[in-house]
Amino acid sequence: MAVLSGKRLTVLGAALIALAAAAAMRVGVSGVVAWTATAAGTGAALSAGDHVALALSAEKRGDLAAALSHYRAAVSRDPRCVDRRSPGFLGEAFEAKLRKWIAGMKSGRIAAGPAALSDASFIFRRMYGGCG
Amino acid sequence: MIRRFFAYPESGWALAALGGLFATAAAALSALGNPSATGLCASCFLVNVAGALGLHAKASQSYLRPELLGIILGSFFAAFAAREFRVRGGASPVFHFCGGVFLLLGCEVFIGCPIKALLRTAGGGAVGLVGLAGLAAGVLFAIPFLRDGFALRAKRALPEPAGLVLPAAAFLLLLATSAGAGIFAPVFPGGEARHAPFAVSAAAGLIFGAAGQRSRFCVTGSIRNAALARDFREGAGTVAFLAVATLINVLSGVFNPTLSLEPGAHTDLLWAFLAMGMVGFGAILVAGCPFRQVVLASTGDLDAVAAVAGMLAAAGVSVTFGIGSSPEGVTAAGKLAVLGGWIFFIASGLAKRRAA
Repeated sequence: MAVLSGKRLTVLGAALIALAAAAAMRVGVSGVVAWTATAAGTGAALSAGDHVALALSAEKRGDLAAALSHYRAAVSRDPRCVDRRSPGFLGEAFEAKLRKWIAGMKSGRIAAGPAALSDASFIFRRMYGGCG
Repeated sequence: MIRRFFAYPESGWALAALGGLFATAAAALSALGNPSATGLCASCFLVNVAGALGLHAKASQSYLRPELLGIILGSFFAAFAAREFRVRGGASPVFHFCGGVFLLLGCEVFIGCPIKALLRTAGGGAVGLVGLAGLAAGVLFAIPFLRDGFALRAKRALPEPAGLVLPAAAFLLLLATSAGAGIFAPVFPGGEARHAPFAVSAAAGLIFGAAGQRSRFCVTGSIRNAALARDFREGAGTVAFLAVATLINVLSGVFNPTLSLEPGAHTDLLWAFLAMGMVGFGAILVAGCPFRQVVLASTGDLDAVAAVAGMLAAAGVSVTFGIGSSPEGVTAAGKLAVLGGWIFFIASGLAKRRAA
């Protein structure tokens, strides 16, 4: 009766299993490569605090793109920067600034480039939601 | 009138009303302190409880969620009152345990269970919507397996005390949490996950559990019934949940149609689709989404208890080994977990077909 039944379903299922296994191999290999590159690069990495300092400096220069790039790096290294419950929280003033920057970039009032909007959006997503 | 309403929870209108009630309670919990779109999320609650029980060490995702304990107790009492508490099991508990593991991992890669997919969509999240589409696709993909004779072994009656273990554990944990930090603090150091006030969370959990048990609320089950049997009554509950949650978000100014600014989300549409597709497919094979598994486990279904145990174990593993996604994106380990889940469920689906 159904198109997908019996042998056809078995063949489709086997093909999908093979496809998933091949994709897993590829993800596994690329994951190991990425992990190795990250592990090799961590020695010279700056701390979250260093990145916040660099971001503030870039902000003073008026270079919003560089500032957001450093804020993003800080948040990636230590997500507590944008966690209201943490003593390391960058503060409500930063939260307000971030919202203003995003609104400005979206409306075109602030021209900082697509990478800056992506960085700001990442920090925004990180600040709210999640499982805890 | 009220008695009739609860006596016939299978009518479409009653299920829609319960779906609306769920959405309202979930929105209230988020407004009172739970993370965004996490008023009701079985997988997030399990991750938090796993942390509180020491299965992972991430404090920001640890909290002995009164909602989850309330769901267990609410389901138990509702089933008991309706004389539906029956201890049964033996329908492939190992499959249920492994299925529970992959269901939770899929939810962690998407960031949320099927109910949270509804809540994320209701908030305007494009990734939530794509996850919901993946969930529906996964359920639809399971239909040919059901039609082709997929079935687990029949459940059999088991000794009653075994079914009381989970509700008793939930009761003791709820008691321990409500008794305050004083006596039990060394055992359950709490956690830093954002949360609504304890009493409100516990009360909401009891409502979720009792109403969930009476209504058989299950997002994946509602899609399956609509597709397989053209029975849209459970679907009415799911649609009402989505509609009411969206309405509340619009009225409260929280609704924000967005891809890149969805709170707590990543922006990887492909893996959101694949992860929730795996969850939808797997949930049909193990007979229920994560929330439904918790409800079933509380009503004496020991196979569902195995699934919940699998989900709890996976919650610890997911956080400890970085399998779950974050706003930074989907990890390689998360992608492997999703692909592994697809392989496991397809192979099981093929292997457990019987002559129709």
